[in-house]
Amino acid sequence: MTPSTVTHDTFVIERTYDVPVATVFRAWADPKRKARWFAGSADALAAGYELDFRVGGREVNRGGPPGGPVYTYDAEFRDIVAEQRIVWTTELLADGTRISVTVATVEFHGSGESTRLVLTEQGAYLDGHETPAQREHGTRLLLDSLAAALAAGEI
Amino acid sequence: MVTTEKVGRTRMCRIERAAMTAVEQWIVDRRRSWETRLDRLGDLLGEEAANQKENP
Repeated sequence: MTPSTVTHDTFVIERTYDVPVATVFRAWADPKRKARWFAGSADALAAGYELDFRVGGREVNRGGPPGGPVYTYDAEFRDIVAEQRIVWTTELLADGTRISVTVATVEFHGSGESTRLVLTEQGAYLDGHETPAQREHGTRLLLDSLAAALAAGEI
Repeated sequence: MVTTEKVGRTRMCRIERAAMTAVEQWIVDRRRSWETRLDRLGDLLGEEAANQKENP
């Protein structure tokens, strides 16, 4: 049996938007608005994107590259302070295999007509992140480079 | 990606793993997808602000 691994990571992303904090917060709270920037289009709501913006409510999104794994983003809101912060936990699945469990926080710092947003995501990234297809792809790359080295007379 | 070394009469070949492991690449991709989303949020907020100026 392959030993299981877990990798921990934290990343922080900051953005400043030239609109008041109420407008930025609304784009996170309103399903129609959030579908556009988070899930990529307003049509995502009809295609299965769900947002129940309240503590204990869920957000679910599914998608992936054509022919690749289907990723399921399954989140639950844990803390909401209007126009100040949102904290949620997420598990991400690739074809049904859990590949990460994360805690994300977004903080809104409003100052008149502008808002600074700070997103922090802390996560446990699990060994399941490599789907069989990705592993096969990686192995094929290694074998290709071996073949190239053999052909070049390096070996 | 392939290194070779002669040990006595035997030539040893070693395939190096890609410099970035799959999990590191995965975390980089996660971060990038959030950056893309937050840029899209900026575009949406910009559009809304422009519409509001036209139709206050």
